[in-house]
Amino acid sequence: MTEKKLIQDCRNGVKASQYLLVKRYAGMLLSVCRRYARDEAMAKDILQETFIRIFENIGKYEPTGSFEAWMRRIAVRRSLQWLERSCFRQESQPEEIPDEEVLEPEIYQNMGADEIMVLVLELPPGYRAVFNLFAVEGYDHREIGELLGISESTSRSQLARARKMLQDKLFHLKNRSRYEVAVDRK
Amino acid sequence: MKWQSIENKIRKALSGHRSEVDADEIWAAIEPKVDVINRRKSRRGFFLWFWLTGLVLAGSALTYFYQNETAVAEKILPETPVAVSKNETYNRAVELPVQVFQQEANKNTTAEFSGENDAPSAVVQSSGIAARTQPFLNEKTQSLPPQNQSQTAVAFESNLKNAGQSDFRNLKDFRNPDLNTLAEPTAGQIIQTSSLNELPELPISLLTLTPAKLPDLKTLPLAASLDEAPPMRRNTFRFSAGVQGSISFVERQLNADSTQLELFDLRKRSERTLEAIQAGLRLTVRHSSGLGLTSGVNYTQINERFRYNTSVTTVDTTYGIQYYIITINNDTVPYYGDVPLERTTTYKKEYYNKYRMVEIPVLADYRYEGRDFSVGVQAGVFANLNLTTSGRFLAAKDAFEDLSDTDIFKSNVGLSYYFGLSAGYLINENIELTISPFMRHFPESFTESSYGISQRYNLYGVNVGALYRFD
Repeated sequence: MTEKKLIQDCRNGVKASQYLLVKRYAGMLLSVCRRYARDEAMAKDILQETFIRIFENIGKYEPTGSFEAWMRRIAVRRSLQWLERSCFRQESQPEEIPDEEVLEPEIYQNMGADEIMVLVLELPPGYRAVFNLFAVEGYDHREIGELLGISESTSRSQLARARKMLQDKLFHLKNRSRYEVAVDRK
Repeated sequence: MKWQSIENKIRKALSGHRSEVDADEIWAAIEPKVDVINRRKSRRGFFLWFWLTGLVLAGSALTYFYQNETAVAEKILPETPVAVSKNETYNRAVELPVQVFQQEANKNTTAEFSGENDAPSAVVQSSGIAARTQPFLNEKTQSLPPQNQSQTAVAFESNLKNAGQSDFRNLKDFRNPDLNTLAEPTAGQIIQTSSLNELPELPISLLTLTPAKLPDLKTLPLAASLDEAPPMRRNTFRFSAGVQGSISFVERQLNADSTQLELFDLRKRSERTLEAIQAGLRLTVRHSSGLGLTSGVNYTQINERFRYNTSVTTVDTTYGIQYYIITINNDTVPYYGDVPLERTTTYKKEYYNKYRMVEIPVLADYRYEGRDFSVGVQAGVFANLNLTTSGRFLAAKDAFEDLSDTDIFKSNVGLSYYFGLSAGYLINENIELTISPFMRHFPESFTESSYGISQRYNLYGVNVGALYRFD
């Protein structure tokens, strides 16, 4: 079934098509939710709410844009709302951190999507949200500010902190691997 | 390598990423809610079609009645000054555009009328009229048959009933809009004109008269007097359309069940109602008795302010040195991991919450209309089509609920009741300015019952607007 027909049927409340939509896009949307949620269970809860929201608002979808992108936006919004409910968001004083050169650890070269995701998931929820929105979803700081109810400068500083933390993690992985190699040698 | 490059790689790696998920499990969890959504959509569709069908039917019915009234009036009113029996003359005289007979004499008119002094309605047989109409009839393709031409005469205004004789003004006045302002003729007045050829062109409508339109004079009943004559026919329904806008005071009623008392208290302390604004288009059909029915479309927006100040201390984790390991070579090796980080955050939030509604008003009213003013009373319902919300308020202590993306509020709040008084002032023949103090009561809570806090509103305000009367 084509995407257009699927959308039309879902608008008309055809249950078979609604089920097909869930089947087709659940994996992609869970991946989005997973990046924001604390754990797998929370991600699935967000995913359920996302689908409910999609079916409620599918009549408002404008076919000019990508349907997947539209659904991703809904998933991101629901995820952020869950974050807010859990009171993870914090506002902090703006802190400009320059976009400095960072070394690319060798370990990064061999990392797959799942491993990168694990690394990102280790970030605290607030930083993770900003990092995901900026780096993965492609929102700019103004949009992130609107989505999270924070200022642009707060978004910038949170991104900088997230990057710093991610960098530390990468370095740590690198150093630990070196240390482990040295210990092994001894 | 710059972060941008790393992030591009991350974006590329994650954007197409799909997690393993049991879609059937997700579907099983959401299916009941999807059913509710589907039912709600079909109900909304039914309601919309029902309303549209009703509107079309009502419009068709009113148009039919309106046209019927006009058709009856047209049948009654021959468009040529054809004299018939006494009572029919009266019927025509009051509505004929040929208010030809009520003015002061034009000295140039030669037509002379002789009436029956004892007759309530003066009917004059005048072959002269026929003679005058003939040239015009000849110009057109239609003409009256001889027998009808001989019957051609003129009708008199009802106020001539006591005159018995009347004056016949120059037919030039036929097209004079100021005729009504002319003085009434006096009995026995004779009007003279130099020539019948000076008479102006008659309206084309006069020339379209066919024999079929002429009543059978022999069968027409005679009225004993003008008092017994049937009343003048007039349009029973009038239409008007207009725009309205209002600003109103908002009274909000929050009530909580026992499980939500804490949140109820938080919300009461952090939210404040501001005002409500309304704007709408109205279509009114009004009976000549003063009763009217109004519908249209209305937009209502209730504004509130949410303000929240608090300090929250949270313990977050950050990546740092957890401890050091001293090796046998006395090397100190830091061990990295999550370390607690305490933060105190001061929140100062202020949002303007908006509750937006699209509605269909169905209002009945009664108006007393004076010369250039009107007063009335109006009551009815507003059927809500849609409720949308935006803004934020507290979902729990220090947690916020985004109103644009929440399940707390209903998408439709049903009917609200309206009661108002109205006053209008006609600034010209068709345009009326109106002002209407009103109150509206929303019996339905805006929130779902599962939320535990009901939220109802009363609005008290003043509508101002302008109406265009299609008279």
